[in-house]
Amino acid sequence: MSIPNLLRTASLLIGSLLFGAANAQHEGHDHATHEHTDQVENGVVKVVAADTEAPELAKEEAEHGGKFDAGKLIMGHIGDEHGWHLWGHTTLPLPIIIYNTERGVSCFSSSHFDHGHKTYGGYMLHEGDIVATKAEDGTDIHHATIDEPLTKATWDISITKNVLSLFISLAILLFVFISVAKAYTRRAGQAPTGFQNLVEPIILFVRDDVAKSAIGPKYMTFMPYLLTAFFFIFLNNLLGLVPFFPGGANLTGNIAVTLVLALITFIIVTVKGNKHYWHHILAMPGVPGWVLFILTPVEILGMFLKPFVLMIRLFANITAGHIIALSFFSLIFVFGETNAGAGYGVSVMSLAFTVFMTMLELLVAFIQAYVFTFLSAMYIGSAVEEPHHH
Amino acid sequence: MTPDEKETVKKVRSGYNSYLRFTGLGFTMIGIILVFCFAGYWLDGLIAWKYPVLTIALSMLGIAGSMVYLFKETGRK
Repeated sequence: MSIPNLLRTASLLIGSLLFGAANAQHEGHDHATHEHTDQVENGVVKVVAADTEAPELAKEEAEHGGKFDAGKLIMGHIGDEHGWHLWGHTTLPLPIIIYNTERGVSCFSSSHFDHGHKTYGGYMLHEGDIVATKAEDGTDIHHATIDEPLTKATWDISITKNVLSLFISLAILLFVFISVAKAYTRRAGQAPTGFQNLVEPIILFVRDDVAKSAIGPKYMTFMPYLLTAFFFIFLNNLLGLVPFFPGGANLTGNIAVTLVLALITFIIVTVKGNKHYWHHILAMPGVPGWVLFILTPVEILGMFLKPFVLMIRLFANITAGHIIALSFFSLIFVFGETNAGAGYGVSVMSLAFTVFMTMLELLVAFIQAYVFTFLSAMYIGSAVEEPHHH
Repeated sequence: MTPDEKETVKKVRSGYNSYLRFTGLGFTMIGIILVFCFAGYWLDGLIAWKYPVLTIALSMLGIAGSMVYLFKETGRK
């Protein structure tokens, strides 16, 4: 994905995320949409739609033919879904909320889509995204055509798997921290009990090793944000490693989520930046004028690139971990397809490697939460630092 | 902040986690070079000369800029 494309996608994603959904409608469709709008101008939209439907159908049938597609499996697991797959053929249906500038708001359960096989309310699922159609309710999606202009007017703000996972993690965080805060007021001056024992060392770690060391004397102002960011990332990294229901969503491996986190850091740095900080960016003191000619643009770029790197790092690390674990599992089925014995043989190796990778991921879950918080604190520290008096 | 606290802060700052400051440096340098390259490419599109002089000039400038940034970030604070 090229950088302009990524930025455009990311900006679309943040809008939908802020309104409670981590799923943007237009992402996967732009390529197709461009082709189609060209054709609409020529007035042959129907013919084109029918044309593109035929290879789609063939592809779908090939997939149903039982051939194992590791790429599809992995992308399905690390991506977002309308509905939470629990086991076998059991899926937890989730609410679909759609705003269409022409049709208005539609709300219904994702079970109406029948695992993505049927149309409902003028919409259907196409490769995981909601698209508009003019077909009647309950039509098989292979017989329904995508209505491109209506799809362009569709904003999907559904409670998807990632959004539900976000809510669950928020409930856990609120429960833990409200009960811990109450325990501190009720048992002031006494030894910690219960959850206090769990979170106190981590809070002290964030305060002493992250905030104090990176921000300096003004660290107390930023402790609420740093602690929230740390525990949010840490908990969701861990939930992402749990293979069954309350876990399993790849929330911190979703670029929209990491984008919002990085954006908050960026806003704090920009708003809290003092005169010293801006002076260093716009005109670095003690540097000859001809160097400023290159240094100032570079510093301004760095201002945006630092949070950008923050976003990419968390996203890439968590997503990579999931891809590796799933790839090891996929190997079993890839080999199993050629020969059942080979599948059993590889499964021993695969399982051992997956256990090893999961252990490593437990470490990465903590390290990435720490790195994100620490680098956020570093940026904030550079913005609120008072000038040195040598 | 008491002088004692100041000492603690200074000690931690120069300690084991100071290297973390540099973990994003590579990506930031690549970002700087890419932004300069794209800017040059875009400006070349605007002036529409036969020879892509601005793409070349600005990508060179981007490399120089990323070097300046590297020295500035790793320099003594």
